[in-house]
Amino acid sequence: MKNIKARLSRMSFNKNQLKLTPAYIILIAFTVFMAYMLGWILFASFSSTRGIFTGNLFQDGLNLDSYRQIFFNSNGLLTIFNTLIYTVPSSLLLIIICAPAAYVLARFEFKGNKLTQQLMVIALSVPGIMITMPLFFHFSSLGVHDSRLVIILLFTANSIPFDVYFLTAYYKNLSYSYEESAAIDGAGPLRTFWEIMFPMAKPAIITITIFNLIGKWNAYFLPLIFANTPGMRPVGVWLETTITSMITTGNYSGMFAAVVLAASPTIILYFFLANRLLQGVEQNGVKG
Amino acid sequence: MVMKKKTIFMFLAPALILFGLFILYPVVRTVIMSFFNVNTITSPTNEWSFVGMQNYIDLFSNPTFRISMVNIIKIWAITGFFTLGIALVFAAILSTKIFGRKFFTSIIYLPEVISVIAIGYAWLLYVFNSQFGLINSFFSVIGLESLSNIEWTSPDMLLISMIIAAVFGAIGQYTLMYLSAMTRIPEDFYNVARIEGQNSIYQFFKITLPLIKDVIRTTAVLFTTSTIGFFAFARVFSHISTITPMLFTYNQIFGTEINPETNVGMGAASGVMMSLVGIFFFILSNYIIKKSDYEY
Repeated sequence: MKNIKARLSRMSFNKNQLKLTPAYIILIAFTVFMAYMLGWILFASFSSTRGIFTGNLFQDGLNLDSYRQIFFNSNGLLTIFNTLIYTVPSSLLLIIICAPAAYVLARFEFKGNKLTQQLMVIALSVPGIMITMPLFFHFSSLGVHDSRLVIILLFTANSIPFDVYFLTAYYKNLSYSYEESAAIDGAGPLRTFWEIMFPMAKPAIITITIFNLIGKWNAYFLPLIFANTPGMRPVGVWLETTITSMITTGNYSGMFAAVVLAASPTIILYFFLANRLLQGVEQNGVKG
Repeated sequence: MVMKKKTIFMFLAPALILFGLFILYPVVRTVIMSFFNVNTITSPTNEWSFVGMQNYIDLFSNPTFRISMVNIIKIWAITGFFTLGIALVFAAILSTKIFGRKFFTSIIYLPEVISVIAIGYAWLLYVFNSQFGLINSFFSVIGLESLSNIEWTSPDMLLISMIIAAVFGAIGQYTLMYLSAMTRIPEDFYNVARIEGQNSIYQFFKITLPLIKDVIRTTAVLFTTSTIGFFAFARVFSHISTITPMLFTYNQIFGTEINPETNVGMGAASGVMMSLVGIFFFILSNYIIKKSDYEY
């Protein structure tokens, strides 16, 4: 009896899988396209421009000149350093700043609470260009135009509305019993938050931090305006500048190497964190 | 729960100070700026002169702005249709009992983590290249010469090419949103349909789509507000046929290499218009996205 049941379920399983053939074709086609595109660009970056145009990528053997060129002649290393300097501190600052704010907004009633939350949400639909003109004016009149610290603060401030909104939603769903028992134990609000309520939000904090790291690494619009000098550029702006200058000389191998340098760090990070990240997106529907 | 006012302020202060300094204050100042004639971005306030609505009138009579408006409507309609459509198909596939579901999901989401500039150049320099590009060599290998001769980077094709790249870059995010909505639908609904002998196409249109209607509305609004900021792809494909309002605004404020002349007041007016459209769709979404018609 058991045997028949098992066989039956296996049969229906096979039938279902057969019906899914068109689905597999679509998914495999997309995967092959993606792999081919990324793989070809990676190979092309180790090839020579002549090899790219003749269709025989390695006719000149393995060519490392493009990487030598973008690392040492085109500020590639400095760009990676800049991007890290902007990305990591601002992502950490965001957590330290937004988690306490989200906590009180979600769990305490006070005058101005609703207004603050509404302002944050409305700020989400205001395009970034709206903050650029006054800030550019003040930065240049204060003479802080080429300051990494200013960029870090700008990157941090720019994500405050979304991060506060995201963490507020998370804190609203937690039970009040934790704070009550902390209060019975005589813990003050600061200790209650940092020792109990902050660690409680760990899943949300990890998700938002991955998003911040990837989002800041790929930031383009604000650095285009505020960090667009050779010594200050992060990868997005650097990539555009590098390609615009290489396209005039037709150095395709160099251009593909620049694309690889800009894209690979987040792809590698994603490779390790994909499960965690996708879980976060599926549960909260956040934007990357 | 109660907390002392001082403590509440201490928790909120860093976020509020940064928000006020770097977002609220600049936005308010930009709105004011849009009613003044401001020539360059570094013009101090005493060089501004009040012009009322003139910046807005100039904006709507500017031919480049009009082109950018037509472009963004095309981009919104075509990219929106294909992005949300393909995302729905992908999500429907991924919500079945398919092998490698996690793997395929992570592949579909991959473009979301790559720099938009890198994706833009990957398409522009490689996929669309007329000599060694992926599309043209694919069609010439399978012998479709007429398709392999398309010049994807020619001025008439550039907008379409940019839209294809933009769809590729946006599918992942929406696929995951639909997928999470679809996995919440109870399996029983489909079992009943299966017992009644309905095929999966029928199930998709009669069960899945009606049940995730609200999510589709939400994503449509989200897509619309994000399209207002369409910028990076337009910079990469940089042509008059791909200019968007955001790029137009940027050029008005910071100038271009060809035309360094700026009109910051008009740029501010353009920014205000885009903000109003964004806020309009945000408010609209609060009205149309009510509680679901279905309980499950």
